[in-house]
Amino acid sequence: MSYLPILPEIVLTAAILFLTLVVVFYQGENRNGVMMTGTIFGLSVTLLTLAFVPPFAGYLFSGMLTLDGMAFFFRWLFPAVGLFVAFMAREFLEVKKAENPGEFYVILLLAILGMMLMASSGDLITIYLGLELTSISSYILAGYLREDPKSGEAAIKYFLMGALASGVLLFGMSLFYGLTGATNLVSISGILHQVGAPPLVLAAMVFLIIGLGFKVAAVPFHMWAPDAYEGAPTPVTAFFSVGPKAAAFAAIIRVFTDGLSSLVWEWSLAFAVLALITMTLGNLTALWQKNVKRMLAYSSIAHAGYIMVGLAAGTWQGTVAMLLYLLAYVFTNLGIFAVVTALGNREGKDELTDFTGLSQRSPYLAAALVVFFLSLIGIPFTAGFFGKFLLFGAAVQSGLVWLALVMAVNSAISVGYYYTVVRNMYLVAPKNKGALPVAGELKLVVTVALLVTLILGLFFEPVLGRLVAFTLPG
Amino acid sequence: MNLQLLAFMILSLVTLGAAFKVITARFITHAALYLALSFVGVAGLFLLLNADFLAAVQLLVYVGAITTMLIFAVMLSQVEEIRQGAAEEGFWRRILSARFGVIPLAVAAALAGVILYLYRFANWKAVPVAPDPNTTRSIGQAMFTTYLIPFEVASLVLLVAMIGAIVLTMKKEDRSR
Amino acid sequence: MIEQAWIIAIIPIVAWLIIFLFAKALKEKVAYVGILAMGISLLLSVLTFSEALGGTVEKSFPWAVVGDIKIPVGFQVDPLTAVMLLVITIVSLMVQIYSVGYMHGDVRYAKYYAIVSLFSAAMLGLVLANNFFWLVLSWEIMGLSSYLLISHWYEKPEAAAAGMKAFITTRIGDIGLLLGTIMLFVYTHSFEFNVIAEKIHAGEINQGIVTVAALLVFAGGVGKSAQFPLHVWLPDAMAGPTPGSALIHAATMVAAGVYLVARAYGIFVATPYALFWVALIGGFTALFAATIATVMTDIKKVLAYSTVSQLGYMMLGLGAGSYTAGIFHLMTHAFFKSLLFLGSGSVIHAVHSQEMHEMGGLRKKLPITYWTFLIGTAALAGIPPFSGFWSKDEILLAAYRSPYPVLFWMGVATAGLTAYYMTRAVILTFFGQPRDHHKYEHAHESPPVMTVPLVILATLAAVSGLPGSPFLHNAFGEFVKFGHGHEAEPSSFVMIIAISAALLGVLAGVAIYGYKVISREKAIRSWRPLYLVLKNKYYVDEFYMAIFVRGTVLLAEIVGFFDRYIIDGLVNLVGWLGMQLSFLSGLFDKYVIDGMVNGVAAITMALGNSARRLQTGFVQSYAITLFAGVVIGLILIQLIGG
Repeated sequence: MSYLPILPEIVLTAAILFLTLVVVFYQGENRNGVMMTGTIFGLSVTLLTLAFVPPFAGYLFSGMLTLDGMAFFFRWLFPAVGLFVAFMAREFLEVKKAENPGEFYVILLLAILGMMLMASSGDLITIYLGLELTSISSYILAGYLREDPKSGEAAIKYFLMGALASGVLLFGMSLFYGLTGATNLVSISGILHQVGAPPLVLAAMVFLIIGLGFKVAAVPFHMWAPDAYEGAPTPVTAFFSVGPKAAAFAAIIRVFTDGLSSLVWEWSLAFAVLALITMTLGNLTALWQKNVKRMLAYSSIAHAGYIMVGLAAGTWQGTVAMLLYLLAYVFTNLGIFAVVTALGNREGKDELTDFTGLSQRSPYLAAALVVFFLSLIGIPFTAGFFGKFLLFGAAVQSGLVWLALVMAVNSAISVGYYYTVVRNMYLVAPKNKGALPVAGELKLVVTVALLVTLILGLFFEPVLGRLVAFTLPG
Repeated sequence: MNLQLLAFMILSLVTLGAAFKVITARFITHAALYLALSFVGVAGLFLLLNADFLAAVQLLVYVGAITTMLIFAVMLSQVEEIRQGAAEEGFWRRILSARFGVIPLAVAAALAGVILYLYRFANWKAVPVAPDPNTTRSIGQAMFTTYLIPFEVASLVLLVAMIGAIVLTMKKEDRSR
Repeated sequence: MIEQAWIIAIIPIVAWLIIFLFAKALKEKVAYVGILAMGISLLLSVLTFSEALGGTVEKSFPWAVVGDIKIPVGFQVDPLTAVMLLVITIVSLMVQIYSVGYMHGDVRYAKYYAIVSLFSAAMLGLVLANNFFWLVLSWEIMGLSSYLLISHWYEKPEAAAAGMKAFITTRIGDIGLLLGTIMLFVYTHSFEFNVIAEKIHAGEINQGIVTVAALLVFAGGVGKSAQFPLHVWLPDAMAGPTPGSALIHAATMVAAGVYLVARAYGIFVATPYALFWVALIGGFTALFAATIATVMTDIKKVLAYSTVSQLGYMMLGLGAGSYTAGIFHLMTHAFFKSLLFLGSGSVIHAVHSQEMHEMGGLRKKLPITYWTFLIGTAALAGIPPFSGFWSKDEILLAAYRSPYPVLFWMGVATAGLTAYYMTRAVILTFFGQPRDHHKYEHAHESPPVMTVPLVILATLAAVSGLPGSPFLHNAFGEFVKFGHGHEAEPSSFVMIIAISAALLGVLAGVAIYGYKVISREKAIRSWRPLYLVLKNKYYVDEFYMAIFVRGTVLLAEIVGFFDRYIIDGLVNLVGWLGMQLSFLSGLFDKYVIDGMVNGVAAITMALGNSARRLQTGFVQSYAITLFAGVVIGLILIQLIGG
């Protein structure tokens, strides 16, 4: 048994343990900055290791892990997300006077480790453990600002609902174990191909869909999301809207395309219905939000709906489209939240009216935000366009023209609420005059996100080629 | 009806009944004690399945350690009575309230009904296993071979829970010392 | 040049970038950047046009390929594109030169020029695109610049509101265009106009689907070209700077809807039903908007409704089956309408008012403006030999030869009304006694930078109809035609009717406003209900306000309500019902035993209790939803699967 393929995870774990010790024993000045530097260093080494570890495809540790192209994609994506969030967190923790800024980074890294595990797991047990590691870390991060009652409320609600959803998920998993005698996805897939789709197997599938659907905030299991997103510290909200969500999608792809491939007709139909409700309700509700974090929560619900279109397609083209869409969505959304953080650090309330006159106070941030919104809407020359286009194509190829049309109409609706922010930035006189001071690392985050969004929008073919190579069956 | 089935019935009744009392008990110490009772029931179920080591661990860790700690925590935090929120007065109000009324009950009943109905179609994959005289050894072996990764990850889950508990409860003064 | 025609659209983009990046350094010199760029584009367009006389060019290569999905990059130069290129570059250049004078000293001078350059690039890209993908893209950028221009002076609430209105109204049509494009793509696997038209022509696609797709595409045209029932945004859009309005909301962008129908003509002719709707909507809009224009007192509003009406005319021409007539009128209209707008801008510049009732007698003060405006009016009114006469005549001829004679009479009535309201506008503005002496005294002719474009456009307005006239053997029709082109044979009856209608309109205008043969006040008094309906633009805005705006708010409230309260609400409703029951029984007790006083106390308590109820139990409700979802999911999956 070789440990070399999971060296990145081992490096990350070592970094986590080391940083835990640093938090306890380092008593000097600027703990926050030191910890951020350590985190960035740990994540960078993880990414470097990932780049230099010889490529490996196959099953490891008695089938507990599946390392393939998709796993590689997510194992690369999640530490990158961690880098962004770590950069966004430092100034925020300082401004909001968080009591224990150091531990924030350790918990963040643990969540990222859990996400990487979810994406590369080949067994229901590892999926569940990865999910719990991510979730428990998320609950703590949501309630990180102890002085802020909203943060506490977010944590409690997220925790209670998350625990219930985990219960639902576990129940489904235990049913599968009872019905097939296996927890390994490949074994489950083999047995299911023989037994077909008896009622209880379908029931178990429903439990899995709902348990994981909760994690991606699919309507009607989304109700925790706006509360949790609004109350959580802004960098954490940024993390929630991309990290655990993308990881849950990775787990969904794993479970349903690896394990339940024989039930593709049933689950793709279920996801088609969920996608329809999720994007429509998400977009319509987002139109009427006053708080920008709440609005972005509904926006991210709507985007989960778009991504589920790839599942509804039920083909490898759908999976490719989902991965590309996730890539575009993750960096775009991180960019948006970096702007929201920069503004929130100075204005403090995250209301839509805080954006008034941003084009005068910080032309760069305002222009960047416009580009990010264009990407979320799916305008050409931005990353979001190709994601939408591929999802669209996948849906059409699977004969889901109606779903593709609903998606197009939803995209058009979503212009409405992004536009409200743009109008406030460019056409309304600022409440507070004067240039907006922005921390250097936030500018860096915005710039990198902007570059990714634009470069992906212009030269997406190499990325797409690799993704196709990753996910092609056989 | 054989003896094993009877034992199973009694043990599940104890487990479920105690669990029900956990969520309805008026005093939090009572709830903690009922929780211990529920754990004892689970340990008994493990015994019925020939899992002697698991049963022992269940008793030692859950009943012995965790419940004791819970009771200590309750005593230290000085919260004795669980406040019932808006007290429902009158027969109808109590029946129809959102918290402890018909709707959650109806949903729960429907869920139980559907699941029981589906269980009729169950075709469980029964794996006949000869009673293992040395379960401890096989558990240990599985844990460090097949289930190595889950075992390690579980330790990280515990780590994050510990850090979280400290971070969310520790006061600032403690840190500066 | 024709092989590299795409450069024409790139040049204004470069100008836009330069203006955008160096606005602070260049100050008002940004105008030269825009003008220079547009001058080069015009030159290249002329070259392209002359080469296009020799034959058409189409170039296309795939930009992104995923499986059998292909996004093409490509352009074509056919007669339609060549004509459009000329029209856009000429009008844009004239407007930009004129704006040097008009916008002088504006707070957002550079922003204005940036928008105009961006718009010109998008519009040129639109007419060059050989596929729906790039067409929709340019379409959206045009919409964006239009909206930015409308809310240019966003300190004025009406400008901000008008921008919002334009944004939402055109979006309705845009969704139609988007869906139509997608439908065509789904069924033909192509974005390219030629490929789609060929496949439809070969009968590969079901007729019903083609009809629906064509109508969806037409919805895009209805929104952009401000056709009924989406016309409401264009008159409000006049809150923007006048020269910008001349370019975007009179000459070019609003004609994009007409261009779209022409470009997709291959789809429309495959199904007569679609063309009939184009003609009907066009004819109705033409007449409808013309009647409103007769009572407007704001000179820009008159011209705005006139634009709506004339765009309807073009649609009528296309719908009646004459591709040539629609495009011909598009071209002549672009010249004379931009002239009229710039002329009105010159007047507004002089008197600082848009109300015609505050003008009068200005012909002595503004001679150049007056003469050029008069030429534009003659062209719009359809007085021979000015350009509008020839293009209108062709449209009326097409309508006359079409199977629906009602379209012809709609066109004739519109022609009469058009002549009437333009005469009225000219008389109110330039003739008679000055009604506001203060404004009259301070009025003086605009600087040459503004009057020279007027003179150039006036020349074009006068002569641009000749290529379509018998004098030049109908050269325009020979050049721009669909398929082999089958022009209806000329009819002197149509020509006589057209001239009579125009003259009748002019006479009526002169009689009422010039010689006051018929008293305006008396006419209004005796036709008061009609006057009110017209003055209020048929109450369309009020109707939309009542139905759609309130309706949307209601819908959103319902959705929001669902999201937040329905589950809780259901729970609470049952609780509330129970409470009422118990309350009723309690009330009875109390009434019998303690009388009214205690009853009132009970009500108060009950109210307080229900208010508190709303505050508690959100998480419980979420949990109930989760498990209710599980139950429903389990039941559904058993029903569909198994």
